[in-house]
Parts: sequence; structure tokens; C-alpha cells
Amino acid sequence: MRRFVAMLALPVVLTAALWSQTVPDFSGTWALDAPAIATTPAVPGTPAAAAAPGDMGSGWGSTITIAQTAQRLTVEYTFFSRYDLQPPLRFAYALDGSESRNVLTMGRGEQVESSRSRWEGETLVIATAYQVAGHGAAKPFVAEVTRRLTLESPDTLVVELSRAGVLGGPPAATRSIYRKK
Amino acid sequence: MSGPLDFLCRSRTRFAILTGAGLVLWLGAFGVANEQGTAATRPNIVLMFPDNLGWGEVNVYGGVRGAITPRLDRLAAEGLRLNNFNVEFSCTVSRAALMTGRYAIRTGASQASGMTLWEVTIAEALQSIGYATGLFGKWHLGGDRPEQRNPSQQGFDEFYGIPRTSNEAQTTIAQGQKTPNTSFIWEGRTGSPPRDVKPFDLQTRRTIDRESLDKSIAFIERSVRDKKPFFVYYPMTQIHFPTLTHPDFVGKTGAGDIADAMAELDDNVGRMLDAVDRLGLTRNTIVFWCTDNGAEGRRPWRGSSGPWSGFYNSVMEGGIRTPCLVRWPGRIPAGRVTDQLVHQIDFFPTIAAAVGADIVPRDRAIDGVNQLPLFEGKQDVSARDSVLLYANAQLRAVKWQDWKLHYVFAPEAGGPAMPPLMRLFNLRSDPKEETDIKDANPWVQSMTDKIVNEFVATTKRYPHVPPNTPDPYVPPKM
Repeated sequence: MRRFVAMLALPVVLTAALWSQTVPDFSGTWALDAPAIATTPAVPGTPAAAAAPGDMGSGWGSTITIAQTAQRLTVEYTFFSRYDLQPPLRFAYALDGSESRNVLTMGRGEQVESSRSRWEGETLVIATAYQVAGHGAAKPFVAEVTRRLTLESPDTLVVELSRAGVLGGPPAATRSIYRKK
Repeated sequence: MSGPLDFLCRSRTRFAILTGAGLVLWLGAFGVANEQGTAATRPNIVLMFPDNLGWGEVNVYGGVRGAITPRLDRLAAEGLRLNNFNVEFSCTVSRAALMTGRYAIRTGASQASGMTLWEVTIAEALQSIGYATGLFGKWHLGGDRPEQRNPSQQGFDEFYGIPRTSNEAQTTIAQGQKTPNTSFIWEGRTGSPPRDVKPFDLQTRRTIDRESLDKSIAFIERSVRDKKPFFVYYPMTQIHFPTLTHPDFVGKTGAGDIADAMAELDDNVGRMLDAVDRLGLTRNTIVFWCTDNGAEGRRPWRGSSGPWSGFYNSVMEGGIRTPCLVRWPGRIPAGRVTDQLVHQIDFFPTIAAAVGADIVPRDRAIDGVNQLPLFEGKQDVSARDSVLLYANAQLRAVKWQDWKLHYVFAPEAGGPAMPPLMRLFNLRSDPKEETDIKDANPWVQSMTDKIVNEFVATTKRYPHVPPNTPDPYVPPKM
């Protein structure tokens, strides 16, 4: 019986050990190092592209705190002012590939975001989708964003945010570089 | 006596055929005339266009200085009130857009150089189909050498007013000049050069709007005598700084200079409408009243933007969303209010539709769209769902439906851009543009980028007129 239990536990132990060896740990408090960079090629001559290169950022604010376990990654950042008396925004993502749901309250009803994450080597990819109410003649649709988190060095976190095009519009992407505080 | 008609009239059947055919021909001719309009039936246009007047100055828009605008309030009750009317962010570019139906960035218009004569104005278009056209008030499309780009070269049969802008009255130094006593009130008419009439100083600044109004009414009366439809453009100088009002209104409201100027402005609007009514033109005259940009921001005459943030010279809503009233009894239902997106560039195609004439130029990009069905209540939805907001050559923001994405967030007039530069607001849930919600709604950029890209794509075929382009401008062959 003991041998049987040990055989069952072995893959879990090995996986955990492997994870601890190969999967980066993003935990810590990170501050945006410089304005994000737009990585989507813009239409040549587009004033929009020249005006604000990538200031759409990571979608997580300029200073973020990440907590990470083998099962979960949590991102938290302060959005509202102290006067607003609101808690920080907090997003939790399961790291086992299962669906995570985060509810965002920004004064326009509750926005439920559905995410799944996966590892691509040492990069954590979080794909998020959420329903957008119809606008004008358009029917409700699903908007999708994908974040790729990579540790370039122990104190450098890169968050690449890709936003899918909607309603015939183009996609866009930005690259944000955070430094550990 | 017999003739060809006798043959047809010999039987009832033939007679019926003849009369039927005649009726069809007669109705056909009438129908064409009705659709296309004629000089005799086409509506008159009165376009009143005050200066630096913010949303919060008009009682019917929730004015902050008391009930001092009864005539504007009545005008709103008699016509359509637009609650999402958009303009360019500053004086010259706003006038360029209004006159041409094009975003000002396309025209190359600037305060220093004005607007090239290649542009086709509403006045030129209406003049071409027999309208009498007059401008009485502020021009500000002629740059530092307005005599070379004056209203009579842009379709106005006659004009009277100031060539540039009101602040010259403080120094009497004309824009582009260095010495006092170079700022004048001018007048002119087609075929002769403009003439300086008298100095434009702090005294005549107080009376210019009433004078321009009197000349507008005299022009209307002449047009009626001549049996010509007319286009009167009355670009009022109030309440631009220095906000010094007509002597009849000094201290009238007890609420300060801006309130006094609004009372004067309201009175002038009333005088114009009374003249239209007195001459029996009410039902055949479209009256537009809207302002060139948002609220005056310069102290001591800082205006009110009402519920919006910001002032003119910024693309915050307080700089670009302004009051607009439209009246056309019998065509535009009285007392209607709409939140639909409309831009001043829409006036040109809308007026063209209203007068039933194909007068919008086709050899250039026209950004305006016909909003007559919306104005008449034949449709509930605007013909546009987006607006580009430039500050001179820089694209600052795009409005799409209820969303507004700032590509360069610069909330203060003349102030620096503030990081993060890109900020997203929903104007219904956040009318003051205070809470940036791009993190939760990044998809909106896809739509605004699409709108910008489509606009930029049109510039390949129709390049912008470069700023400071001399006349004659010849567009490059593409």
C-alpha cells in the first residue's frame, strides 16, 4: 500500500520539483520602468501611432504586486485614489489551465473576465475574454486580450499585451517593462 | 379651325389620354422642381455663430448665471436642441471646418495664414445656385493678410465686421502687425477690395455685434425685396475676451461681464428672429445657432463649460462639445432634443440637402454628412458615429459612440500632455473624463484605430492642404 501511494505521489512531486526548477517566479512588487512601447505596426503616417506609442500599457497599471504559488498567480494594483475608499483591483489566475473568473467593477456594471493560462517555456501566457454589450447596431461581442509575462532578468518583468481587433478594427499590442521594487 | 389637337380630342378616350399625359408631364416637372428646389422656393439660411461660448452659458442647457437667455430658450423650444454637437477646438480651425464641411486638418487653415481660396465654402456653394450671401461679424479665415483672403473671395456677396479676432481691441495691434492703430472694422463686397471702416478698439468692440446684426437684417430685407433666397452668416464676437458688452447691457444682469454679454447676445438673437418673423419668412428659413468652440478660459472672463471638463483650445468635452439649436418650422419638429453625435462639418451637406441642390464639392474629401433626416425626426440615429479631434496638426482624441479615447491627453488649454497619454473614457458614465478605464476596455482602441486609419487612407487620394500654402493652391495629381 505504501509503495502504491508513493508511486502515485511520485509524478506530483516530480512535477512540483520540475516547476520549481523551470518556471519563473513573478512574485514581487513591480513598477513600470518607462512608457510602454507599441509593438503593432501602425498604418504609416497615422498620427495616432506617432502620438502615443503604446501608452495603453499592460492593462494592469504602472505599479503591480504579484503573488505566485504553484497553483495560482495573483496580480493586484491600486486603481482608485485613497479618497475613493476602494480596494485595489485584484486578478487571480489558475496556473493549471483551468478557467479563472475575475470580476471588475469600474462604474459600468460588473465585467466578468474569463481567463486561462498556460506556460510556453518560461513565459506565462494568460488569455482573457469578456463580453462587451452591443454598441449601436453591433450585437454583443467577445473581446479578447492576451498577456505574455516573461522575466528577462530577476528584476525585469516584461508584459506583452495583445488586443484582438473587434468590429473590423485592427489588433494592437504593447510591451511594458517593469522593474522590481 | 383645326389642328393636331383636334385629332386627339375627337373622342373621350383620346381626350383622356391627352389630359392624362399633360398631367403626368406637369406633375413630373413639379416633382423635379420640388426635389431640386428653385431660387424662389429654396429656404433661407441664417447661421448665428457666437464665439467662445460654453455649454454652461445657455439657460436651456442648464446655464449657471440665471435665466438670462429667454430668446435662446424659446429658439430651443421651437426647434431642435443638440446635446452632442461637436466642433473643432479653436477659433480659426472651427470656422474652416464649418465653412468647408471638412476637418480643418485637411484645409491647412491656421490663425496666421488663414485658409486657402481653393477651399469651397457653404457661401460659395449657395451663391452658385442664386443665393444672396452675406457675412456680418468675425471672419478669421484670412490670416495676417486678410485682404488677400477676404470673405468676398470665398462666396460672400458682401461683408462687414472684423477680419480677425476680438482681442485685437485690447491693443489695437492687428495680428501680424507690431504697431497700435492697425486693427480695423472692415467691409467689402464682391468685385471690390475690402475697405477699413473704423478702428477696432475697446469702444467699438462693445458695439460690433449690434452693428453686425443691424447690417444682417438690412441684408435680409434687401434680399426679400430682390426676391432672392439668402444665406446670412452672423459670426458674433461675444463672448470672446475682452468680454465687454454693448452699453445697453453693462451691469444689466448683476452677474458680471459674461452674464451681461450673454444677455446682449440673447437680445441680438431675438432681434434676428423677430426680423425673420416680421418679414414673413419664419417657415421658409432654417436658423442655426451654435458656437465655434468651448468656453472662454481666459481670466477675468473665464466662462462655464457646464457639466464638461476643460475649455476651448483643448479637446476635452468642455472645449469641443457646445450648444447648438436648429429651427425650421414645419420641417424640424419643435422641442426635440437629441444626444446623437453631430459635428459642425455636417452643416454643409445638411444645408445642401435642405436646399435640394447638388452643391457639395466632389473633387476633395468631405467629412461632413447629411443630418437632415435626423434633424427632421425621420430617423433617430445620427449619420455619423465618430469624431476626430485634432489640436492643430496633432490628433488628440477620437470619439466613437459613447467612448472617447485620448491618444494624447492634454486637459489644459495650452498645457502639456499628461502621462499616461492614452486614456479612455465613457462619456455617458464619466462625462467629466476623470476615470481612465482603458484597462477594462482596451478593445475600444481597435475601433478608434480603425477610424483613424480610414481617415488617413483618404489622405492618399486627397492630401491635406499644407499649412501656410499660398494662393493659388493646386492639389497634387494623385
